[in-house]
Amino acid sequence: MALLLAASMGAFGVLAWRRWRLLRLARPEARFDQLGERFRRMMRMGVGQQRMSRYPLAGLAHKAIFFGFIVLLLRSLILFARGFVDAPGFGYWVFDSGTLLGNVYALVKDVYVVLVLAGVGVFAYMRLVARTRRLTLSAEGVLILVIIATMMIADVVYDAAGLALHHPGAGFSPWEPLGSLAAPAFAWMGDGAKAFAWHAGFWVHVSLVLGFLNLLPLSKHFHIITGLPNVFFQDLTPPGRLRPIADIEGKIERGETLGLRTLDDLTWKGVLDLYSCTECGRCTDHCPAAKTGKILSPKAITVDLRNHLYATGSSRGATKAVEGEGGGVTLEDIVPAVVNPEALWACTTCRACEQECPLNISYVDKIVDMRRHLVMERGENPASLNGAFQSMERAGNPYAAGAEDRLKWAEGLEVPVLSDLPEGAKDRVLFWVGCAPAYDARARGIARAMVKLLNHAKVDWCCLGAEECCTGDAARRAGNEFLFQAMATGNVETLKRYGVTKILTVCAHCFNSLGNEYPDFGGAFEVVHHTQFLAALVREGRLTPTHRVETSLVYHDACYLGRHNDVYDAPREVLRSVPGVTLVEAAASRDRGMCCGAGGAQMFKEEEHGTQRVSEARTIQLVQTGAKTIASACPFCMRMLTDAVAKQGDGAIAQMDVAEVLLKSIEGEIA
Amino acid sequence: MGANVLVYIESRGGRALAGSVQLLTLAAQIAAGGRVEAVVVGPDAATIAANVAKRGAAAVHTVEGEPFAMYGALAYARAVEQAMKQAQASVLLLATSEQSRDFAPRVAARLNATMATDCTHVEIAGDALRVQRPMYARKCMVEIEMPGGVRVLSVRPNTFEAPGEGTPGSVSPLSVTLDAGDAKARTLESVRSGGQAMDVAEADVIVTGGQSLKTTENFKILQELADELDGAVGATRAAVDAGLQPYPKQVGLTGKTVTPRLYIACGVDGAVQHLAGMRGSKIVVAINTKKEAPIFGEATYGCVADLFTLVPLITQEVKKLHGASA
Amino acid sequence: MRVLVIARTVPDSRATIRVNASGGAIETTGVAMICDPFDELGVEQGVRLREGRPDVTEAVVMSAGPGPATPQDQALRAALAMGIDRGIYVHGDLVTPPARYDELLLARVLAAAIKAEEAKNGEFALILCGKAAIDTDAGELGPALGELLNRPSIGAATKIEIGADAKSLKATRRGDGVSEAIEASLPAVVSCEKGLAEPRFASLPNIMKAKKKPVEMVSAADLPGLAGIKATTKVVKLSPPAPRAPCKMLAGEPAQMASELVRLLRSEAKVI
Repeated sequence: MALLLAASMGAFGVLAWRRWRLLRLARPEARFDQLGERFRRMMRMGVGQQRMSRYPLAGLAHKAIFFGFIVLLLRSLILFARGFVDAPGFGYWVFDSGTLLGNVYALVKDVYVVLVLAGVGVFAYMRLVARTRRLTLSAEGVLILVIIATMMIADVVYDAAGLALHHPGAGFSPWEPLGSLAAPAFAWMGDGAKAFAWHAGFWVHVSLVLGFLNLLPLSKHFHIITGLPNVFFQDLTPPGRLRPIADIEGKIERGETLGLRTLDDLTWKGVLDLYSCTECGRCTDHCPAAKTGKILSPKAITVDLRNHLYATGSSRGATKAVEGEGGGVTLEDIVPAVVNPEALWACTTCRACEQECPLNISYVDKIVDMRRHLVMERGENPASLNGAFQSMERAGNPYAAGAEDRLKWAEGLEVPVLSDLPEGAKDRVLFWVGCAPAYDARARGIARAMVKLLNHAKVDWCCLGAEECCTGDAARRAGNEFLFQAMATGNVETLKRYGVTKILTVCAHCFNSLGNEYPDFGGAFEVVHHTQFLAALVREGRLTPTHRVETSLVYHDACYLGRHNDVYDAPREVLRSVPGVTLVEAAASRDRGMCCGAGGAQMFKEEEHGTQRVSEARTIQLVQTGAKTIASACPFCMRMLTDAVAKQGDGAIAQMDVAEVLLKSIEGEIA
Repeated sequence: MGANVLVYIESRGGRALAGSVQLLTLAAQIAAGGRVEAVVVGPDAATIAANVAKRGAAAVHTVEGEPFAMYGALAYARAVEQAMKQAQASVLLLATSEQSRDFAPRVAARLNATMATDCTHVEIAGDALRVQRPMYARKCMVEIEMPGGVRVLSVRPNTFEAPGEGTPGSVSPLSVTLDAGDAKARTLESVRSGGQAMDVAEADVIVTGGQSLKTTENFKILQELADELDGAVGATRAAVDAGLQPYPKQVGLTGKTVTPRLYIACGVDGAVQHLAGMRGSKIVVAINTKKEAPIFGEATYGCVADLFTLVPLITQEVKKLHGASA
Repeated sequence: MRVLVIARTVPDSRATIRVNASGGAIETTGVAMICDPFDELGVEQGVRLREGRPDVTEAVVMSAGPGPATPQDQALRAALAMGIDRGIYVHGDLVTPPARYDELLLARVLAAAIKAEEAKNGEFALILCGKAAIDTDAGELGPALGELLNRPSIGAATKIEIGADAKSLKATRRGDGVSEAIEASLPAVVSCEKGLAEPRFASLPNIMKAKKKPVEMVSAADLPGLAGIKATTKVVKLSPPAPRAPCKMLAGEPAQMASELVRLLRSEAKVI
């Protein structure tokens, strides 16, 4: 026993040490703040198994196995001890057989043995019979299930044979239901055979536990060890915020990498992410790019990076994970050796993958980091993005339009421009119009509706007029951090010059950038999305929807409003306040809402090769609800859906912004 | 003004380019007592000259022969320079064209002249000429004074009316001697461009179709108009997406950015991404059945009409026009 | 073999054009300045030759404008970032608006600067520039340089190929509705038309490196042979852009519409 224990612990020690080294060799990252909040989230996600239930059956099965393992951990420890202590009922005194606690534990354990077996059964069914698409059929996955099942059965054999050997003839025991039920199966044996079965059960269980332990660092089941820490060390900043790169020019001067080029550029949390992936495929299952036939699979990115990491290691010291100490290895560029650039450019940064991952593995930051390296160091971005980049840099908007046309959307409306207001009258809500509502003929309707609503509610507002400049969201998400920072710095300067404190946007992307990302550039403003603002005005009675708008309406969640900023209810609240509206929900809605296809700079590039446009797939989902109207709350969504609706044929479904619906109810008809 | 004026009559397909014949009107105004002469270079020089001689040129010089069989900047510059000397002219007028842009600056530099290209207005102010020409992609007009000395002006076609026929002037061949320097370049061939192969990014006239064309076959009516205007066919993203045209023909933010002199948008609504790719066009014609389509906001001329009816009619009209200017 | 590219700094095509107080030039403050997009075609072609042919030993960019304290010239920076080796900046009133609007004058100044450079470092086998700069839209520079330097010039080239012996080139140029194939001996001057070579977007590291590339400052007034030279044309005034007229909607039956449209395109817009 001691030998087995020492050998397997030793082997595990070596394996774990290698993994630990790789983690230590990775780039530093501060993730030790807000320990209370971290602990709270870990309990919710880990112990609460919060995200597992998003797939109800698999969630239940996983819960059974997860809690089973916790319960059975004690059992394994007890069995290890029994290998040394010559007392069949030994249980660290507290859990000794026959004691109350010992009995209770034995019962709980048996219950969980059944649950774990049931869980294993479910998983085996999913993998082998149902062949669930998100799962990759692998020998490893099946082997693990066999090991777990065998462990459970060995445990029962151990109990039953033990009972048969030590208490022959004893009947059913409520404390040991499984053992006592199975004991008669061994009654016919001789004592020798019983002892053999008893020992076999013991050794099989014990050695499988130890074998399993050693399998962990070599397999996707490493998540049993790294999962909870990975949840604990998750990014606590708003999910819509990307980390800035400091001193870009200096880094270039010094020849330092920008973004993610080789494995060496991963932080330890990035490495921990890779360790933690259990290949459940929920990320890819919900990825809008993967759903529409693009080659992007978030799961594949993580798995491929992990395999690459295990194969090459870090160039900073212990390299080859397999060979041990090495050094001096030149690491390959991740793109294209490990990740196909086309996959990278298919990402809409919608965060569906991150929302789904039960272990808080992050994808968007890695994908954007890889784009950063490609764009800023290699100048390798899809050519279709160049027009938008150049226009943002030179004209301050991605549409190659002139700044003098920025107020064209407001023709015929009275628009107070901040620079024209007298001193002392500048303390107003700043309506940040955004480029799409300023230049896109359809989206202009959103800005116009908003202005009319602001006037109806007698809100003191103003806008920047020609001084407004694109927030740079698309540049940032396309990896052009340098351009983004120049734009953000310029905008923060303008806003600060006027002492702006509160900003209202009608665009989910502006909302996210201004609210979550501009603080990194010295611009801390109170930023509200128009759906939040309107919901408050309706609640306060400053806007009263009166005319009936007879329509069934499906609300399309914008990723940058929902998943990135947790705003799900405000738009629905506004829509519900409108008499006549029947609000229906798409099967994929709220935090599972599917992306329209515009995010992550996709709006300004050609879609990658696939079987369908993301916008069409989403539009079909929305049309299938049977609703007469799609309501959206972001001009990018509106543009993508408008184009896709047009393709479905005229009049397939109407499309309005939440503000337009509300205005219709207030004014009767939109002029 | 009392100067001798030489007009370069550009030959195009065996005919005189209308824009250059129109310059005989301006030449007469500038000459005011001086002589108006013309020069025609190329294989059809004699036939063209006979025609031109009736429209106010006292003498028309023709330059023919092997070195002038095909247009070439060096040979043509030499021919026009010698015609200037022969005519003792101090003003050279040319119609704005790719050809005159290519060789006229050489003549001007050789004659130590002052030059203005693509004038849209010319006025005589004593001994000086005052011309207007567009700059900054027509966002601005500049007025330039060209005092005495030798002056070379290229003038945009249709700025002046062609003069009527009168007593014919003389037509005589001019013998031009080329020097060694003039042999440093030669034209190997000249083929008609345009058609399917023309790249939208290079085209000076673009006829674009949207998704409302519905089939690839329907794009033919756009191609016919484009051919007649030596232009190319473009497409919107939606049309490319629907497989009606290949991606290289896509005009827009994520496709080609174009700046043609004439952009004809047929059944194009004018989504913001599309506008981003064609905003630099000088003249935009929009044809759409929906009068509220955003494209009309960017257009110079708008027709609320069915493109399937209107475009072939436009093609016919252009054909008529081209026939008439022969 | 050395290659020279001419790159001019011009206002971005999206910029609002305003006439300055003097009326003789446009307002440049607050206007994004860029390398002329046609000149950029020549830059790209020059860089491709430099990268692709071992016998191209140097690619130089020449820009002109106000100065001398203007190392920030966008055209120079863009060209150097795209991969040109070094820059020459010709500065002075002679090459600054309004004198700059006289493109023959610009050609004379640059020809003098090119001669001075060639006297020091040898001949340029190929000189590239845009077929016209988007600010003046005159297009006189290329052919005039050819004349002044006594070299063949090819205007509106959409393709060029330098012979293996580096003594001649074959080019395709765009004529009026025709495409012309031309053969010329080197040295030569080529003006570049769209389609020649899609300009690359400089990567950030290359933009940074470009800041360290050498730029020679040349005062236009000090160039040999230019004593007493001045603009021969006089800019009387620039007229501010007419406010863009709203779309002219044509009425009537399709047949009427068609004939009216063609008439307008011909006599009002003068584009056909």
